[in-house]
Amino acid sequence: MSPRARTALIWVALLLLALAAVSLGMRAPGGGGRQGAVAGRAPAHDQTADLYDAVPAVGPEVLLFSLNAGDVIYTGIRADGDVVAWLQGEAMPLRVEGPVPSDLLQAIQDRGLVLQPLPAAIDDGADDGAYDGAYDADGAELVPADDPLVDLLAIVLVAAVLLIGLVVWRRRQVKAQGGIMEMRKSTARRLETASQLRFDDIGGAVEVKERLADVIACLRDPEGWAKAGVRLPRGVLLEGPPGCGKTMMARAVAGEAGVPVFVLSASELVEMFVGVGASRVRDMFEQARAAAPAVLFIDELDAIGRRRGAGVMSAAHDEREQTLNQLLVGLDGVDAPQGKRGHLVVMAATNRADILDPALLRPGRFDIKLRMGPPDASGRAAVLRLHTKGRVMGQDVQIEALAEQTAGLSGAELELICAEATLRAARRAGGPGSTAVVGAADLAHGLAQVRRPTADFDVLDAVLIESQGQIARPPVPLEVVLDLLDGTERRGQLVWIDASWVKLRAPVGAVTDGAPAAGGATEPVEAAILVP
Amino acid sequence: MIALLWSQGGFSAWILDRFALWVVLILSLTVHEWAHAAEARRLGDPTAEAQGRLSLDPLVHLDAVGTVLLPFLGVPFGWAKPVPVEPLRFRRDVSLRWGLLRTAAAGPLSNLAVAALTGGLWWALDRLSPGAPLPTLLARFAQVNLALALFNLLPIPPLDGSRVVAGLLPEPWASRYARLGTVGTVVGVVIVSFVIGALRSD
Repeated sequence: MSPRARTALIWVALLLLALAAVSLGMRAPGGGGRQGAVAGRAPAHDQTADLYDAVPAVGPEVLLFSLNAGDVIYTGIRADGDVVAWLQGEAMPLRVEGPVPSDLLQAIQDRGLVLQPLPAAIDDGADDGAYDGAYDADGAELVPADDPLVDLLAIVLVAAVLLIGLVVWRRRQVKAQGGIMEMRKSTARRLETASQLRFDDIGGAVEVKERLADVIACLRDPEGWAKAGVRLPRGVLLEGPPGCGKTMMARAVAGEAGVPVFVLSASELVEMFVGVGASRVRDMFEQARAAAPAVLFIDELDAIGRRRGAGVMSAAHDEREQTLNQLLVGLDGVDAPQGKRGHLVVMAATNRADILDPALLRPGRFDIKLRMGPPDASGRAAVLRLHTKGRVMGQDVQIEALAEQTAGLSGAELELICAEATLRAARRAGGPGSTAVVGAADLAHGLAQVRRPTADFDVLDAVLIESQGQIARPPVPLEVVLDLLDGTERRGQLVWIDASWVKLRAPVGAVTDGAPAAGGATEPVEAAILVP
Repeated sequence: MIALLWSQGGFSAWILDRFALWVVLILSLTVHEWAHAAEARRLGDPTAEAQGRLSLDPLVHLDAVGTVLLPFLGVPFGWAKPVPVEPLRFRRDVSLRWGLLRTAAAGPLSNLAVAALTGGLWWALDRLSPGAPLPTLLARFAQVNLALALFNLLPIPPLDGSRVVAGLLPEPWASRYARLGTVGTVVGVVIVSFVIGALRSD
């Protein structure tokens, strides 16, 4: 059916329905009060006359009839033997008092109707009571509402009132569900204690765990430690390349301390609208403080923590700076006396510590700064064991050997190796539901899937170059002399691992000033100056 | 309560009457919205047409609350989904103000036209067979359309009348008027009508 035909059909159907409704409404008992829009006044009459009732010659069923006497229209209805009539559009007993006008009498007779004297009983009781008042003793006026102009006015007025109500209602509705107000809420998700990790779930990173043990102790008993005069740690910054377990570590701290952790990504704080990010930070701190002692974990801190005053885009920049300022205020915790009711530890993760605003890193804010780098051989073995736990391993698998082969890989990459190996084994064993035995060949396949930065990661001198900026891969091998923080000097060739991780390939015996032998330096040593 | 109404005999008639009014209102609102869309199209803006609003099909223009629920509950008033108009897409020989004025006025004027047409038909038919259903329905059409036209021509912001007034006013006054908002104009209209009423009653 074409749209035009459909439209026409709808119109015809609706019009017919309306027509049916109108005609039915006219026949319904007592109906039709306002049906005829006939304007006019009651006929003149005098007081002396008898009452007459127009009775149609037909039977007692519902019957509609109308009279047209001159320019006055009389319409009547007869139902159940009682005669009710509209006179000029208003329902009432057709009472004709006084001598019936000759033109009306003629019209009545022309329609085959007769006029009878109206018995008093019918006049009072049997008539439709609702209309008795329509015709007062003098018979001078009809119901005033008959005037269509009055109807019109009433409709317009009611509509105006409704319209205003609607506008106000809509406005309030918008405010209540409030896009704007909702935006200002923090998007941090609260993870309950039960769903959290423990240190055992993280392989390696022994030094970081040791350092964090203090933080956990303070979370467990903040008041006790505060009483002992300890300045409770407030901020922990975990820094390191992607996939080395920074997020897991934050959750494990909360898990070990048995406190809730609030997790959100700093990019969730960045919004187009100035002030939204700041109010989210406020809301985030409020939420976390209410649950204290608790851990608040901000992932990818560099999204808002970038050094202020850098960058060109001023508008986006304002918003970020406001957010950062609010974050600094929240870290200071001026609005919540620490150690009182509970203690909030803010942990943050970034892999771009070099671009963070110095104000974030000053003592009292993120003063504990921990590097979570790629795990060493024993750490890798621990990670691999974790990820192969619960899987059936073949006889030929040697975790230690694999750990040796995977020098420089992050925990996430190690997990990927295990996942790929398991997938391959499961596919070989016949797909879903089968018992897969992961063999050495599967693990070798998995290892082939991941990028390996350098083959001799572990045999290199474990000197960490703490860079102030991102380190580009040198085009030629660089021979450098390093001034180390412990006052020693070391000479060697730089081996570029990734943008913030450089190792030193030290020539044997090149150590000067009687510093400990290169082979013994297993701990990362921070270098202050990089001298090319 | 309903039984009481029923026994008195007025309820069914009331319902039927209400239904007829509802149908009349739906059709009249449809004509109204179609007129907006048609005028916008004539002036070169195809936005409404692209959204399928250039149609006399009532289903296109229905609004769940405004066209269906409220009138059927007996509120003698309703609204349909507004037709979108993008004045920037008018033909180049049509100024924005004049074009907006014309598209806004098209709705109420279409209702006035329907009112005149059905009123005239009612006047003619009612002479022939007084009180018959068809003339009664026509009278209803005339009444509802007249009311719609007058109501929409009220110069209160969401209504078409406000856009007509804004188009007629010279520029500084038009933007001042636009800033009045709904509440401001309602207050203004009430004050003006009181003043007129006071002057006339003297």
